[in-house]
Amino acid sequence: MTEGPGSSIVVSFDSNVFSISAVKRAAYRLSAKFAVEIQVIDSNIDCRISLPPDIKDIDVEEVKRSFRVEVLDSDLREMISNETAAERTAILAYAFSATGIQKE
Amino acid sequence: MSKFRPASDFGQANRTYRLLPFRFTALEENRYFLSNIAGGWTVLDRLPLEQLVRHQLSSTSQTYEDLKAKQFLFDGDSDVALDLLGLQLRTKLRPIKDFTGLHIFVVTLRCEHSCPYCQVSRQSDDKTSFDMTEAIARKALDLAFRSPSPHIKIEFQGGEPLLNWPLIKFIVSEALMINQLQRRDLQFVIATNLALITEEHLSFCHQHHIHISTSLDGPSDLHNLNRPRAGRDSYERAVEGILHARQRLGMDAVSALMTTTSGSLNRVEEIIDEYVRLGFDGIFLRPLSPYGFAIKTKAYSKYNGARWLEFYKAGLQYILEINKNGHKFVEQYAATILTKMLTPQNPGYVDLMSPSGIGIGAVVYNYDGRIFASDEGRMLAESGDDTFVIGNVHTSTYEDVFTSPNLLDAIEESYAGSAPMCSDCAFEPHCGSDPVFHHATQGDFVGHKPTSEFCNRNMEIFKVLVKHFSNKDDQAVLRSWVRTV
Repeated sequence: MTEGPGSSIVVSFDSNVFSISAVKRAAYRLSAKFAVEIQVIDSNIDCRISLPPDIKDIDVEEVKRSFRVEVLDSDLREMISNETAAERTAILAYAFSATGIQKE
Repeated sequence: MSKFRPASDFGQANRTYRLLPFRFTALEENRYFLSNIAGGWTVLDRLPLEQLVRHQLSSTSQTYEDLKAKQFLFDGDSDVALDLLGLQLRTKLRPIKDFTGLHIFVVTLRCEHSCPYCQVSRQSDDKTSFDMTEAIARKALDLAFRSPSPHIKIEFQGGEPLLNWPLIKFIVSEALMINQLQRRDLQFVIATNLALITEEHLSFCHQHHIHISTSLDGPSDLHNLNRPRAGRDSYERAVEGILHARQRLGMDAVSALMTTTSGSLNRVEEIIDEYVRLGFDGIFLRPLSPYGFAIKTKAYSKYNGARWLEFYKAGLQYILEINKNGHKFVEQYAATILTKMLTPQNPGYVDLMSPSGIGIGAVVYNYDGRIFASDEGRMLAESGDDTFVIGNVHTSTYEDVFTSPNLLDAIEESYAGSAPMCSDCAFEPHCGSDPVFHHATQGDFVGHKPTSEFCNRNMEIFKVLVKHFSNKDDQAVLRSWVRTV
């Protein structure tokens, strides 16, 4: 497929490495500029990024790179979130423990 | 045997550590802003960030010590971090428990100005049907004093509130009487253009410690262009009023707000100079809001968010230079954000609260008895959108108002901690959710953050503040602003 304004490009991720949720979050972040269609085929998460026809001089490689960085960031965020779930619950429980919100 | 254990007992080369909840957001290529669950923050390059998350950070490194001290990780020596973070978070959330502190009384819609950017649908100054009555005011006061907040601030707004002066006097007297029993920290503010201020008004304000909040858009020609009135003397009257009010009430009792119009964009230094010249200790550089006359007259669409940010950044740079030249002068929005970033305090600024401050931080009693979740919600209603009407003083109980679905749905849905993108954003602890803005501009309480003007504006401001903070001289100035909010 031609890479340029009005066309689309595909960036793939290995679903054994990245979660679909991490990819979706990254796609959402880019949604001011690009629409991303996500499909899971076998162990691949294929992301078709539509390049808007009204923007000239798109650096396609830069689009791919920035999307990959976003996915890597999302993946890191998931790792933090998973590892700290218990601590987050403990901190929030402590924070709300003296608020008087709960009644006997 | 030696009295002391060998040094090796104290320096474990690679201790295992656990992460504490934190988020990160890119500042620029390879540079990231990190914030923990209570808003403590730091800046890191990508490599140490990845090392941190992947547990590859050496426990003997300075980065490790910094991150441990700032509660991004904990090890065997520091599991007290959990309690500390909980305590910090509790302190930050404390104002929510206080509930509504700001009670806005729209005593009239009448105004003798005809500002094209007005966010309210003002009425001409002879239509008394747009005045609040004593009966409505009394019911509104009953509701206001049902708030559990130890601090009750009553702000009179309009229109031009001085056009309904007898009602202001009535409300102040009634509130003081109620407060003899209630013993709250009770304050009053009149938001006035000062064009009609008289000695009688000021004498009453002096007697009851009432503060004045006025509008000043910059130098004479700009102010008068933005704020037309018969006689074309809005600026002259405002300045005379400021000086007179200060004389009677004291310097600190008079504050001013500016609004950025398209005519302001190339004049930020002149606008700031005007505030300095008049002896103000700061300025709040504010964009136009998408409500009321600002939409009808297309004033709102005359510049975009990116252009306003250029204006803001230039203004901030100029203000920093003023400070570095020895004159303390604050940019108030930056100061509010910095107070959130650098202290456990929550300044309670409604636009930077999450859960949103609508209703639970401030509530509006309209001249006709309707109750709004925010001033902006009132402005939307004047344009026919009743989404943020949460009750009516004639028919609603306190419980009806503050459990209104129009209030609770907006607060719950817009909560930034669970909103798409906000929930991952490292600036979230210092930001807010603005369901009214997003409803007005994007059609729902949450909004689409990648295209949200609120989000883009605040993200850029956070980033520019963090950038300035990395400069030692700028940091000293920014730190000095924190206590002034």
